[in-house]
Amino acid sequence: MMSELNYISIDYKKNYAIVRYETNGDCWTEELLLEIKVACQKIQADQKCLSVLFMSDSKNSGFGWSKNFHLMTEECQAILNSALIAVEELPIPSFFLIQGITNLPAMEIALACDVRFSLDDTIISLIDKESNFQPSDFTFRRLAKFSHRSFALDLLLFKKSLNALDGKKSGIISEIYNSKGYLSAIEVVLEQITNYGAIAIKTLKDSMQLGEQVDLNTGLNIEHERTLQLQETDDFKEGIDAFLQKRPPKFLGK
Amino acid sequence: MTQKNVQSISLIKKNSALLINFNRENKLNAIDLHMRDVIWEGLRLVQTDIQINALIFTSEVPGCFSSGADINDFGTAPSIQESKNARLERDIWGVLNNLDVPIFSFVDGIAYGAGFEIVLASDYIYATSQSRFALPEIKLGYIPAAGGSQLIIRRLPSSDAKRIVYTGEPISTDRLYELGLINRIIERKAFDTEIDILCKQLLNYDTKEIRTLKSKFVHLINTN
Repeated sequence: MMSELNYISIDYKKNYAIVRYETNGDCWTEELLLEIKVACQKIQADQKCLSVLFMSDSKNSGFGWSKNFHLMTEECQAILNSALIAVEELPIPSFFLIQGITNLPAMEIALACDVRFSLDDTIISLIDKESNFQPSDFTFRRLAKFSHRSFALDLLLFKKSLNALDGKKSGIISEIYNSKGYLSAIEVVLEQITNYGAIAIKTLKDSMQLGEQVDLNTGLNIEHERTLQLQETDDFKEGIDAFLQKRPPKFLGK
Repeated sequence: MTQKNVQSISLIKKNSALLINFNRENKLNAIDLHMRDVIWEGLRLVQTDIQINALIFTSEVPGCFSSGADINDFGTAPSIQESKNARLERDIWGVLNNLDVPIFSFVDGIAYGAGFEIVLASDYIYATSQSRFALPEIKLGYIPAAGGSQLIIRRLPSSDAKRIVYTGEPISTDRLYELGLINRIIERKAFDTEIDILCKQLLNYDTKEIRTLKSKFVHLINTN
């Protein structure tokens, strides 16, 4: 099933969605960012959808901003922030496929997703050669969490580019796929998640999202509370029964 | 060296360090209620015996650190309120993550579920190259419950952390070493020697100072 916006198509598969976006000559526009937000709302409204992949329909995730976009204006910043928040607040696991040349703002959207995969020809950076825009505060906060701080500072301060291998070494990227046959390999991951219990997936995401905003001890309490809530669900009982009976579980989302 | 309880889990005092040694081979070191009791006893010992300068987790079973919590014990608490009360009385994972001595894990083979959560709570992780780490709880309709969902987002870059929890699939020693979680890759046959060296080296440090500094460190990282 396909859902079409002007610059985005949402391909609904078996309980997951693939969001393909269309840039303007590899540049991101205001309209595309607005549609990213709409796409997130549509996906969120679909209760069956348990994971989502964002990817470009061209060979690059995006060179930079369209010349018509004036990031320094408050209105444009608000549009970017609302798109980033919409992606970040999706209640299901979100994936981004980094393809080819990936600069601002594609990298910002990628960093707002939970998991980042890339193709082997990827070159990522946080620069916008045309307009010299800087990454948003949102992206600074995201990068500050990386264990290899030097990679984050290379991107931010020294405007360096990373290839796919360095991106993986830095922790920005989790997996690199060959340019041939990558989509079916990624769909295996997306589909795998759809076999799990919807309640558990959403609870897990919620627990980690909240946990990222608080200290560890508070996070441990959040996790414990969520665990107790899950123990009351039919899906929890089904998971345990299935394991003990050595059969695959059948989760009903109850 | 003194040894207490020679069954599925042992508490072993080595110099001034306390070893918690898993040995439940037929259940792949699945942590049952008895093992939880002994871990709790070990943690209480570290808290009360101020001479202890480190806690070391390891396993007697080749190819297995721990397969996680014993699923046969799941959901055995009569009510949510009783589960909450039990945690208030005996918060194993809270205590482990706030312990004022350095925690070491020597891992060979699978470290799944609570096994990986113990690793994530450790300060120093030594692992064999063939070890595998996973949080597979999601596959059974629940979530990591021993701090895993909170520790992993603090110990690993978020993309790898979330991929591990959402897919439930294992991750290799090499990848965790590359990401900086694992400190050293060593062979299993070197475990005993390394633990001996470690315990002797720790004697060169003032235990009181170690505890003061670790306490300050965990307070800062756990409350910010």
